[in-house]
Amino acid sequence: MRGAETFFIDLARLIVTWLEKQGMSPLVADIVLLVIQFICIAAIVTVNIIILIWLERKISGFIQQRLGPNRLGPWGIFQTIADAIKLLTKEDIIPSQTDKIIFRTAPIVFIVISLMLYVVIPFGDGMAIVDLNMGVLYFISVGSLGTIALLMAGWGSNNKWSLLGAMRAVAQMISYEIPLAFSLLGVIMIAGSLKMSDIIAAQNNVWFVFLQPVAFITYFIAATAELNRGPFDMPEAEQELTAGAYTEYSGMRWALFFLAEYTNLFAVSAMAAVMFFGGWQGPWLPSWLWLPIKAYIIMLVFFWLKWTLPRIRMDHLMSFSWKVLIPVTLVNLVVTGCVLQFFK
Amino acid sequence: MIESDFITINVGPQHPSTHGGLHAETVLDGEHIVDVKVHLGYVHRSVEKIAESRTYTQFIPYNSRLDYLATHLPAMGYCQAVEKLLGVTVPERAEYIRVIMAELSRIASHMLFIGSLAIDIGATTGLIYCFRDRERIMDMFEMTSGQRLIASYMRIGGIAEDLPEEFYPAVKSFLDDLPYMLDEYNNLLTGNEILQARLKNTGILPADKAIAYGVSGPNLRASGIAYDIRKAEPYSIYERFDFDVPIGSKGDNWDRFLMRIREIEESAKIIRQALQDLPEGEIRAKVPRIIKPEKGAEVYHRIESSKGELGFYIVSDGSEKPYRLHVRAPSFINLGVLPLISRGGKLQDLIANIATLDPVLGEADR
Amino acid sequence: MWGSGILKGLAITLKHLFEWDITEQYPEERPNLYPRFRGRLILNPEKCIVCGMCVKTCPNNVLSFTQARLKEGKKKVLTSYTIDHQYCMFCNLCVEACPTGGLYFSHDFEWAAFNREDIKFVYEPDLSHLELASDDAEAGEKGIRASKEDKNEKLINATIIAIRKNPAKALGKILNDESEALKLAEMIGEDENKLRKMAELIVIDKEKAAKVARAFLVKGQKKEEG
Repeated sequence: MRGAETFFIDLARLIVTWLEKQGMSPLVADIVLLVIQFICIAAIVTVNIIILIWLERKISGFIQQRLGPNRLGPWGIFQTIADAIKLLTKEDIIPSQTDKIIFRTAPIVFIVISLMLYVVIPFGDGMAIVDLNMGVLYFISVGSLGTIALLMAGWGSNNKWSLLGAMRAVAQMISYEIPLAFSLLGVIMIAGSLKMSDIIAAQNNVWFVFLQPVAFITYFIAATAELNRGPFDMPEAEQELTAGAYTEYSGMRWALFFLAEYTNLFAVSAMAAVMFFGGWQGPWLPSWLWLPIKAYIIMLVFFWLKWTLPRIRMDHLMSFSWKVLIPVTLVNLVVTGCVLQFFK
Repeated sequence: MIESDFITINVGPQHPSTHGGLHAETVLDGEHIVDVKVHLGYVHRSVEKIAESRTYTQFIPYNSRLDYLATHLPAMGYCQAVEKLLGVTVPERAEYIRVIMAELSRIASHMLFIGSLAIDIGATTGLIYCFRDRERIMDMFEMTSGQRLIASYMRIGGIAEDLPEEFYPAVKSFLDDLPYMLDEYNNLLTGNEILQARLKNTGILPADKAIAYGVSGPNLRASGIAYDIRKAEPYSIYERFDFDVPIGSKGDNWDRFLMRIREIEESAKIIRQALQDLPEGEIRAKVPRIIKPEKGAEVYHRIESSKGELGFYIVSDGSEKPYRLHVRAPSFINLGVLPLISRGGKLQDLIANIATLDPVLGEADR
Repeated sequence: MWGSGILKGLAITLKHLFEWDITEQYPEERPNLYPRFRGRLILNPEKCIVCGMCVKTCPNNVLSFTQARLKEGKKKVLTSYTIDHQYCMFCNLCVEACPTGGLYFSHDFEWAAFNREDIKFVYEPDLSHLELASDDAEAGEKGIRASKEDKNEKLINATIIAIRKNPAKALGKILNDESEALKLAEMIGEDENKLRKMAELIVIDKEKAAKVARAFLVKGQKKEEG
């Protein structure tokens, strides 16, 4: 069991010692290791997304009493791969009136930003690529950069639907950034640190979801809005804006947006697991299995919500953020502070 | 000061939630709608002109292509119009079967309304559940007429074939399950706070405006006017059945949505009574094979279709083909109020407004 | 409480998540078709009495056939029968019209094809063992529509002769005025084309003929004046 637990850490150490034996300085060896780690992350993320997309289609199928994909491979598991191949081989269409540079870079920016989130996620005991001492802050600030990519996509497309979608995205993501950060603040106050490993360590005895239930709910709602997922999928809103900011995108460029959304989804769910469900802590299984399990369960709830609820209206969405979520999170903060002071 | 301008966007004809080929030229101030202009004609198939080159019997299958979601209703309206022109009395049993079929069509149409409204405001699963239940009605149509969507079952003077044996248990179990289906819609959609927030107080159509624009059917009743042609001017045998005409109070999207759910219940009531009283006997009156009404004879017959007042105006020139046939299509006239109820709302309300007006573009464009 | 409706909805979808699917996995599972299902329209040539009722009833000109007569007994036989399925509305009118039950709908619904021609049904029996009435063959082979055209042709010829013989009466039918009719006849004169066109119009559509004749007269008058 011990071997399984530290498998990846041992592997990394092995690589570093081997590199140093080849005559590399420790600094270069560390950089090489980081590159390897990032490639691994990219690979894991890709495979993960393939599973996620398949899972969402399966779950939505089951909810709707269908079977979902079931033709390619057992239970249709290769459907996403077939779709990806199809998207890759599609003609790359760039409408003539677009702002070419912005149009091309927007999907790349989006996917890079969503991949950057993975840098601080502790996949297991001591398995964060960088365990920043202000990891949560990094997560929140990098996460909010995605807005720029959507704005670029909407503006660069030179399409009114895209523009409307982009405007909605900006309004929505900025409004929901605040309750998202505020709901995490309660946890940070209890843990007394912005470092992910400290926060997980602080949940040794009791998960923060029991200490901060309100914060968890507000985090969950705000995260749904941040992820542009139903019932808050305003920027895409296929029934209203055809495809919102993605209207003009096709083929692999569109797929990049799609991938980035699922990348974000996993990152945000993993974050929820870290902040509220004890991160990688759990019995029996190795720690690097516990975090994905927890994240997947949270993602199932995301799927469940999306496939049940109708889309909320834009003005309701905004007023919900400013009039409900932010006051609630603020009250939660005050209460947490008072209780902490009282029991100190 | 920031300078701002209106943007004009074309909602449709290639838009996911325009129910066919509706084109709403929308002027937006941000997310607010300044004006809507409806352009029609994308599904125009010149049905009225086709009628002039078909005999009276040959035109029957084209009727279901008007309102393909409530297949038996237009066909019934047309056949009754021709019968009125000829002075034919339809046998009792045929009348009852017609009513059963018409009300089943109405339920099918309203179920699709609920489903399409659900998907238009983003609740995809609601659509699937409604389609699942509507499928049972489609099965019943297949049993009786051999076709699911565009059944040509009505004939001048009666119906094509008698009900098959397997129809009775199917319709009975459907009616028994209907309350559970409605329960499911109510729990999934009607009770949902997000849906209520989106539908309540949006797209308000005041009663006086509704009358002024000639709106009919559930959309008119949602504005609080109890006008149902089945009650106001009973055709067929509707005066024999006991049913209520549900009315709304405000005329907003929410009322229009509720109207459909309650009308499904009322239709089920009518079907139950009709099944109980279903007499034995002939299913088709004696009608000459070649129908030639007298020269200059004309008729206007209207029925309460699932969308509103569906009227057929037929002029005969003494030949075996109608000289002129006009369809008063409720979808077309109901769409007239779309700009009125959408102005001042949000873009998202426009989508809900289109959905609750329930236009069938095949009927609006004809 | 706000939110209870959402929870109820979530409960519904959660319940269905664990229910078995209700969809039909089509190629593996075959659909349960009812006896009246309208699949492909099939002709049973043995029962066909070549009456042409089906062709007359079809709203969309899907059906067409050709016929011939036997030399002995003058019995009609089918020489070919075409069902152009791409225009079929499956309205069942032809099946109802057929007096002998020679047409029926099968339960075959899988007939995708790459070419439009492929879904056309053409029945051409081998009639070499039968002796057909040779003089009738050409006229009869075109079927109902052809015979109707023939009838028109005869009428047109008759009308041309009538106009030549007695223009006042023949054209007066459409103009209701004998002097005008004479004038018209004068204008048409010996122009074969104009004469034929007029006769065609009179046979096919009287009202249109009247309109055209009036327009013609007015034009003629203007010419005279200016």
